[in-house]
Amino acid sequence: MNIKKISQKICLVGDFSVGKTSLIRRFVERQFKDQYLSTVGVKISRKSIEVLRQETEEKDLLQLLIWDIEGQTKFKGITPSYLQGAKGAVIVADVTRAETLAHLQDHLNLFFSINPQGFSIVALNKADLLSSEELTTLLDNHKYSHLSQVIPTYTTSAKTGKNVDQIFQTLANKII
Amino acid sequence: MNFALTKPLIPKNLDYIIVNQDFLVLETSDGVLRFAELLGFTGLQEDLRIYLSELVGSENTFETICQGKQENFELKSITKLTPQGNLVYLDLHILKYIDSDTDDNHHLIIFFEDVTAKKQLSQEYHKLKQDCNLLVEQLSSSQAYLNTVLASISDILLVITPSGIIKDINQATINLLGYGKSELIGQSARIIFPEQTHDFLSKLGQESSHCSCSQAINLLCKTKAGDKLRVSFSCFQIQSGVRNQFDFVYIGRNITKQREAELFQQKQAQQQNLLRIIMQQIRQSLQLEEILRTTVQQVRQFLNCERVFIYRYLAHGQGRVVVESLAEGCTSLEGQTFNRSSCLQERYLNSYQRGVCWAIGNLIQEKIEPEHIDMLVQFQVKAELAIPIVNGEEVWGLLVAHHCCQPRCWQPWELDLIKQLNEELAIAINQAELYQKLQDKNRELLRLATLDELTQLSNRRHFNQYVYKEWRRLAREEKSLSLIMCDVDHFKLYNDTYGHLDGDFCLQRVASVLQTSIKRPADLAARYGGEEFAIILPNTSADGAVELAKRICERVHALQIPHEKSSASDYVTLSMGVASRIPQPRTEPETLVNEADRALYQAKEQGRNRVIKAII
Repeated sequence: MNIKKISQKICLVGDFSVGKTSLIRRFVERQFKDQYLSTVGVKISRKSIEVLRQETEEKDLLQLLIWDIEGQTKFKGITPSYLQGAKGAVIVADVTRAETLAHLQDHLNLFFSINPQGFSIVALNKADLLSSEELTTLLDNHKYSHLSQVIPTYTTSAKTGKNVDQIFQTLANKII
Repeated sequence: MNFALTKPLIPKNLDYIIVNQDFLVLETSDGVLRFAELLGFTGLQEDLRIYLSELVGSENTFETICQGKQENFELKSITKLTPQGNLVYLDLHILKYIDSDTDDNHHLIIFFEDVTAKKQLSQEYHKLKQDCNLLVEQLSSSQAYLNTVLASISDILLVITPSGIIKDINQATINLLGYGKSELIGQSARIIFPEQTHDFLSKLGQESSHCSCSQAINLLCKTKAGDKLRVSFSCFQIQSGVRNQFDFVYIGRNITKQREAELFQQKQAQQQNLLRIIMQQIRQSLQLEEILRTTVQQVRQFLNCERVFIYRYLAHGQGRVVVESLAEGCTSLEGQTFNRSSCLQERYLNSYQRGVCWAIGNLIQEKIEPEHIDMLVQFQVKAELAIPIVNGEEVWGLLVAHHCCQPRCWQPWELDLIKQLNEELAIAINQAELYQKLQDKNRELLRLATLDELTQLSNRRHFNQYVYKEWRRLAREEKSLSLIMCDVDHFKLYNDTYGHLDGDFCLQRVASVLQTSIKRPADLAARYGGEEFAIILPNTSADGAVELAKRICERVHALQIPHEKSSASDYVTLSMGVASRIPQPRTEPETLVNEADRALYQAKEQGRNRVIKAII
């Protein structure tokens, strides 16, 4: 079996303080810190994962270049140049902040306007703060099943690690 | 790049790298070595993307720059971590570069600007800003949450300043009271509480705040439409925006319907109670007047009016006020007879028979016949209610209520109750009248039981009871009781001569003399047996009794009833024995009877037609 190494750019997009950096840190460094440090500009993390090409059944080693982009605030939007050339995006919201959930669609729109061929996955983060019933309701309300390039939504927790690897792996499988 | 230009043109914190279309490094500025360690970059002819992965994925963009279709590309604030763990922020500016030596136009020049100092400075500010944003977001979320909670409650919520100005309200206040928000905010709370003063509202708020368990207080709230709602308020104090200053929050539940239901229940209970009292009275008493009097008293108390009376229909369209309950200071109608005045007129009888009521709420507004108005005005009546008392087919009378202080809207339930009451009353009247008839019959029976059928005088039984009673009475009073015993002389011969029919007639005439001769109410004449009579004379001396006996003798003689077989006279005569005593306690009247009887015997012995006084 041949293993081919490829690098692909993916971005984490969302409002400020939804846990984008924490998700990356959990995924790349297997760590979580409660302390909040807002990201300024952009920081790239790398992580190589194996992905299986379904058509050839070949395993590829995919180096994910994960762009941790400064979150959107009321006064400052996402810088579009950061998204350029990204094959995928993890669109992140904080389940405890309705406003961040309401902005998910805007972030999706922005990403697809720059990368019409890209894929995205929605992560409803900080899932450890809600009950399973509440999470089920939230998932029902944020399905985006009408958008073919959007992978079914996950609830995630960078704190517990819930579904963190899954979102990156699922996205990677799509963009390969 | 022309070396001569690099020194003056390139600022200290700006360095560059020139790459070809494959991103192989062709040239760098001197200062770029500062970043070499950071990027892991070692030298020329290496693929810059290996060290600067920010370029990965943007190859198409760079191609368009090389082709001149795009002027430049910027990546700002690229974050890099030094081996010492420090953050370095770089801005990248990527432009097309034409090598003047080779004219190769597929080169790019990438400027690196170290913006670490600037970014570090802004980091703190940025962090603060983010924190503030989070707080604002939380506050807005809390505010929205609170607003939703407030909007969802159906109770009135008012925030009132200590000076009585409305500061805030909720949606329920708008819905319930009908005012717009702008009509209340900034206005005096007296718009809603016209009956309360500012002081009252402020004091209420302060008192409620000091009390650990806030007592609810019922206040009347005026709606925009002018209706009044009864609202149960709890009040508490909250800190206003100004330090050490407090506002009062009033939360009120509309209890108007609840209150109405309570009042309705109270009224129902009152009605039931009134009915119960009257029913009890009816059961306890068969005295018509007592029943009627209780009825008017209870009805007046129930209706809270000045006058309630019962008007009894008499013959010829007249009627009389038989009983009345009256407030102090009102003119009494009791005992008065009224002719045909409007509500009492006979022509309303048909309606009354069907149970139709007469209800006047306001004399001035209603169409009433002038003579009736005159009567009502005379008795200061402002509103009148007349409900028929129907006994079988007959309208027995009316129960009439007068409200004198002001006009009154008689409530349907009030009318219903009085109607119900009148039905009971009709039964009671019927019963009382039957009882009256029974009493009359009983009296007649009693009279028949104590009367001698032939002479219509008291019989022997009644004589015995009466003499015994008077004996006891006069024993207590220590006064004399006299008794006359008398006999028709030779009455057997009279019967034999003239027949029993004439004998009976003779006895009747003698009895008539006896009955008409006694004058005082306590005197009693009785047929003692056969032709023997007795007269009881309480409080009469022996001489008085002898006097009366002689007079009776004379009157009987004067009747000149022929008695040819009599040895005493040609006419019917009487022999009489008189006895008199002051009765002594523990003695029986038989002594007196025996003494009179002995005297009578002596009279007969001495030749009849005479009076003999017993010697005691």
